[in-house]
Amino acid sequence: MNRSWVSKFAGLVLVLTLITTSLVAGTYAKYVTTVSGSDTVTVAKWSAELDYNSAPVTDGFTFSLFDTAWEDSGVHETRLAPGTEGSFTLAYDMTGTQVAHSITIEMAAPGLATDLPFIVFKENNASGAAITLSTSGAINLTPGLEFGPDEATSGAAVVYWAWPFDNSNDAADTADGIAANSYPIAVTFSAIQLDTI
Amino acid sequence: MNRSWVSKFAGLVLVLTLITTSLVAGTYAKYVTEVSGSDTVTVAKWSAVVDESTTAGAITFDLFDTSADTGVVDGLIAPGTEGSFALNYNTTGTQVAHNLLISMDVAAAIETVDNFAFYSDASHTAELVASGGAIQLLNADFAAGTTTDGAINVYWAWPFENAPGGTLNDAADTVDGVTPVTGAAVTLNFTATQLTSAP
Repeated sequence: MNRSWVSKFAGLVLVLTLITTSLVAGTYAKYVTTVSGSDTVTVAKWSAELDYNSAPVTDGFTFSLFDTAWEDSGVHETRLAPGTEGSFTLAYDMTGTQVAHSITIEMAAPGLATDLPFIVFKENNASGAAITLSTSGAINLTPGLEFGPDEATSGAAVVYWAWPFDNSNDAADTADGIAANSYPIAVTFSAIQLDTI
Repeated sequence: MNRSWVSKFAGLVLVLTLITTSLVAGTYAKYVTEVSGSDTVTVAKWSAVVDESTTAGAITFDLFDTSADTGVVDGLIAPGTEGSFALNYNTTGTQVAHNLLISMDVAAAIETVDNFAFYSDASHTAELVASGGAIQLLNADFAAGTTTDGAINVYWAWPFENAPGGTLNDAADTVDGVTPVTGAAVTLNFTATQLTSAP
């Protein structure tokens, strides 16, 4: 019985093989031309890092002028007064970026510019060039920074600030001290891709 | 003795005569019509050429030439880059019905670049969307002798900024740049196949 079944199955396989061979023979027997070509695509890298006083920060980071004040035993640690001074550094590192880009570091403190004009801001240190705040908006601390796609860029903006202790402005300083107002101050770092350069 | 030899020879001649008579008798004895025909056999020509010279195998394309863009390192794509490439094909002279199939395999990684797209038109209105990792660019049947000389153009673009009032893509673009896709393959496939019957 088994032998008969095996014989029939073998016969069936043989018949099917003969039939399918004739059907697929054309697959190997007709004209066919195949050409393929390939390439790869790679996205240009974007790398922008901002350090505030040597610590990496991201969008929405907390900036406080008091953080940057040098130690002053004559005033509360989170208050400005005549005699306080300090500096802060905003550093950028675009190394690895493969597109053209611009760098902008802006500072806005319109209230200080209007009400506390005796506070001075200077580039780098006490003897640096004066930075004039805008009474209505932000000023660009790093104007003209544009770089090509192959330029690895890193740098920093250092801002020195001070409310001079002895400046013959006692009356005005005293008035400011009596008012003891709070004023917003903000810095904004922008690295923006440029379409062309 | 001589008589015996003569008799044998005469008998042989007689037998041979009878045999040859039966062989040639038809020539003189019945109606005969003879027709002959001749022909030559010529194999149908097959000609399938890609980009003017390639007839088989693999060729290297430079699909993403960004050398004219000053805002990005050459060979890379970024917002603001765009371009196009063409696959030229020619089966002129082919004497059999045939099908032309041109497709483009697109690595899945490319589809993760949010605002990069392929288009079939220069104005970037007809987007080519991959299905199953491939974009079919041409699938057409041609009759024998039909001239098929053409080109498939593919356009690509990554817009620098959106139209005024549109959704800004800065955030998504920046993410794509911070972790850039590298070495994602794009492969163009051209196949010309003979058809067994006219389309």
